[in-house]
Amino acid sequence: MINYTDAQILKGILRHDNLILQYIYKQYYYKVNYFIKKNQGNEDDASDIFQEAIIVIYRKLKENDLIFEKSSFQGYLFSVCRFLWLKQLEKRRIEKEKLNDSLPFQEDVYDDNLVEIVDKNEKYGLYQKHFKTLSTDCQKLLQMFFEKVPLREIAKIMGYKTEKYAKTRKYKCKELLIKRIKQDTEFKKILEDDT
Amino acid sequence: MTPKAELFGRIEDYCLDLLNNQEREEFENELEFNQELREEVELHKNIQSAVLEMDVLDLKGKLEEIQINSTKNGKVNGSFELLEDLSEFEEFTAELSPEELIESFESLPKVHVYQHERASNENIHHYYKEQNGSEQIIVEEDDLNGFDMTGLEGLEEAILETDILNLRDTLQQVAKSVEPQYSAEDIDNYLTGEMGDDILAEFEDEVAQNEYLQSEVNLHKDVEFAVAESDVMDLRSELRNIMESETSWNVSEHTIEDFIDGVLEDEALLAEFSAELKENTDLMAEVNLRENINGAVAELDIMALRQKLTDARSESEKKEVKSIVMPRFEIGSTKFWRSSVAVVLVLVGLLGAMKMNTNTLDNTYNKYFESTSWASERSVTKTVDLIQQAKIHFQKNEFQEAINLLNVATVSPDEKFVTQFYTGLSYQNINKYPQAVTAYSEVIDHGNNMFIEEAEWYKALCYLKMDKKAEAKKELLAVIDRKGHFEKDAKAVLRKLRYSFK
Repeated sequence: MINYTDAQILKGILRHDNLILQYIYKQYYYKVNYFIKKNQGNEDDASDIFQEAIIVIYRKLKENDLIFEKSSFQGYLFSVCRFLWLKQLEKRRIEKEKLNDSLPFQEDVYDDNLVEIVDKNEKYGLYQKHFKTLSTDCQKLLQMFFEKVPLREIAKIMGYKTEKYAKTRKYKCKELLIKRIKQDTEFKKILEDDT
Repeated sequence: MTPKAELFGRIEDYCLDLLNNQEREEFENELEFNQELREEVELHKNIQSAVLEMDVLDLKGKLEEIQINSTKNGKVNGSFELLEDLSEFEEFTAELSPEELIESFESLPKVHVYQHERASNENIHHYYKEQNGSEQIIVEEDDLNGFDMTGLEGLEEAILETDILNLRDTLQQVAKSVEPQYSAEDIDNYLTGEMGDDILAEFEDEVAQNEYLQSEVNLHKDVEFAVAESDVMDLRSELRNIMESETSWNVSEHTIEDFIDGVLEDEALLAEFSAELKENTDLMAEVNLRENINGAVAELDIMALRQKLTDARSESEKKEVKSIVMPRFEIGSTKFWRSSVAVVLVLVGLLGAMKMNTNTLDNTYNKYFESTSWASERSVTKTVDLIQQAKIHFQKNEFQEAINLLNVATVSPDEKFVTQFYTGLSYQNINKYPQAVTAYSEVIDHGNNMFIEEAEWYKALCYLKMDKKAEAKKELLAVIDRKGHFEKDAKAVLRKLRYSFK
């Protein structure tokens, strides 16, 4: 198997390069899986944590906020995974002190910015999860609205007779989305964490 | 005839003196003639007075205590000091008319007034007034009631709790009745800058002061940002797809095979492989599975080859080798026999190579076909004689007899899948695969029974035996999709035979 450099991996994540993503999965997933299973988690937890860690790294990359000076991609990825799993353990009120640390991690990765991005990722992830449960029409409509597509165009694309109807429909979709988010127990937990 | 609920209502109104004159007169007339009603009224009155008496009893001890303390302090404060600062509030000097009270919106003052009004009707208030005067009354009350207070210590607390519960209910009602001032549409208009100037200032003022509205606005904003993150959503679903479709190990199939065969010679690769094998549970399972399959298949191959060699030897001993093959050899010579055996072996080898594919399928079938036992708890009814007899035959491996009985057994269409499944299994046991497939198909088509997964699995095995690979693959995939008992086996069979599936 080809070995990619850290720079290639980061570029690949930014471009959503399937080969690079596969490489990351094959190269590092099993270690994360092993760590999580050793620390009261299961297969599903491992895949969720791994996935969200990559998303957190992607968010960091988008903000031009990821430079490896002392660490490497592997070290950074493992540190983020570990951080995310510790957060989960805290939520589940499981003791973190007895952690079986099989992942090599770097303490200096845990800065305020990472905490902020992780929190944002958690919150946005929840919203996006519910967004994906809306009908395709609603998803398309809301996305166009938020991408500032002109109302007339939206009505045309969606096949609505009037712009007013497009607007009403958007309100309904958004209201439904917000209702679903508010009903989610995870949302309540996030609110509790915020306060 | 008066419905019970209505009757109880009237009795209660009567006891609480809530009936108007005419109703009261009518009720009393009826009371005079109706013994049952009289008893009911009596009971209600008793309950009512008992409850009120309980209040008195519960609070008696407390009041005694208070009185003792108050006397000690040299003063008696009738308002429990709650009203000490009340004179400071000007608003309370003005009198409220009943209309004003009614007009006032559901609010805490109203709740308080309501509670106060209610409490004023209870004995406790009047009782308390009498406390100043004499202790005698307490003693008399004690004598009159004759209740033993021991063991009732928690009762007071419970009653106080009821008050709290009532208050909580009322507060919840108040909270429910307060509608959000601004709709999602208003908030959206505000965020998109489409809110009219007339209400914009008011809205902004409200946002600045109202935390709830502030968090609503923030939620709307966040949702907009989150929904606009299509790249993140795409990346997430891409990762999910990779995780679902890819194996999680970082080594090639060749490396795994070499490792199993013990020919992984590259030391660095071997060290890397061993390190991953320790932690990667998926790789561990894969290696295990491959080893098991190899072991089983290899054993069967050897057995089959041994059989063929034995057959070939006995054949060669019986038959005379034709002179056209080797005309110059004498039949009795050792050279001739050696050569004949060699020829037979080569022929067997060729035949084996030609049939290898079929043999592999057979071997796989033999490895994975294990006839299930007849589970009586899954059968239609234990009392059906024919099915019982069929079961006995099935257990004795008399499959044809079992089939004959199952074919004539009368079972309701809803439960037919049971006989169909065992019919299929019986056919499969006597190598009548097409008939077994038909029976299993009926079980699967039924759509809602506990045999479906097994039927799919056995049907797949039948197809393997019938050399219908595409059909077998379809059934195996269906078994895998169910993620049930046979999932792993189905995956193993698919993996083992993947090169045969075109």
